[in-house]
Amino acid sequence: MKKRYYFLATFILILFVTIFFLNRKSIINVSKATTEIIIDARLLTENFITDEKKANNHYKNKVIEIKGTIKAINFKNNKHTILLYGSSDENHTIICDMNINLKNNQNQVLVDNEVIVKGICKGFLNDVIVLNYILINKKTNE
Amino acid sequence: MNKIIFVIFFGILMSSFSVKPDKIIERQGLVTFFSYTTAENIEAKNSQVLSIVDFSTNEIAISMLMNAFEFKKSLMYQHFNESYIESDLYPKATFEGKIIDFDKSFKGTQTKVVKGILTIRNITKAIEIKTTITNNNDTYILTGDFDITIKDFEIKIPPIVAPNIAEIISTKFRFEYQPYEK
Repeated sequence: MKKRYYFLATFILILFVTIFFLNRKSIINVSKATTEIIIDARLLTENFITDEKKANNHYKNKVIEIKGTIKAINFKNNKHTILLYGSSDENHTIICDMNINLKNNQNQVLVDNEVIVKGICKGFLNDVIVLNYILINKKTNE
Repeated sequence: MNKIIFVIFFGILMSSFSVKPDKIIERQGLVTFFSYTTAENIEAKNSQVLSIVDFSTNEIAISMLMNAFEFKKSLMYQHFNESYIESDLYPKATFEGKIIDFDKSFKGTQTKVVKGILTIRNITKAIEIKTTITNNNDTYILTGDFDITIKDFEIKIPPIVAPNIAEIISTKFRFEYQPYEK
């Protein structure tokens, strides 16, 4: 009888510990994740416009580094967001939402800065959507 | 006579400066949904919702990527995308409808009904949403809320977690539009 109780108690303990650690499993840490694709902002956008299905297979849910020029910066929905120039007609951009855990000097980017951002590509609506981005490099245009 | 010509010319000139755009666009619309149960409250937000309103027809279109909803717990994000919504198979949710009796020139706030078709997991449902429309110096903001019954879209919840997921999900939205120049 005692053995049964010990077994049951151990099983419940293991179950709770497992659930606890599963729930604590963090979202992909972009700064530590390996970059899977490096690409220019215009090429990324054009690829989605040309063949969205093929581009989704290639880029969706991947950690990508994008080189581009900042078209706009805003703080909509309480999030720091930058829009990179995308298509040549400027109707389509890359919308990058910043990683919420970021504390450093990300706010120092300006419109028309050339930047390299790293984030997770979610797909395409009118614009390419990238979440949890971090700034890799910034170059001011002189 | 010269004065009349001048007045007509001036009137045409001034009217060309006050032409309102035919379409407005929101690229970073906010949609939030809430699941309230005694076991657990779950909230998810999507801040990259696309919406376009065509003033010539009062039609509205909304599109969102399901994998762009953000949750506090990553496990819930996984369950939502892999099991409930199956976002690899059904990546987008859309709404196409019409704002009934909408007066775009009205300054201030008006409440209108938006009727249309909501599509989730390729399953469509006709819905009506009471929407507040604010026109502030020709910047239009649409806000509102509605309920989604998960059974209507064949969202299957495993029995073991069923107590944690509400059968009716409360959904809110906020879109702030800009002129859509193509």
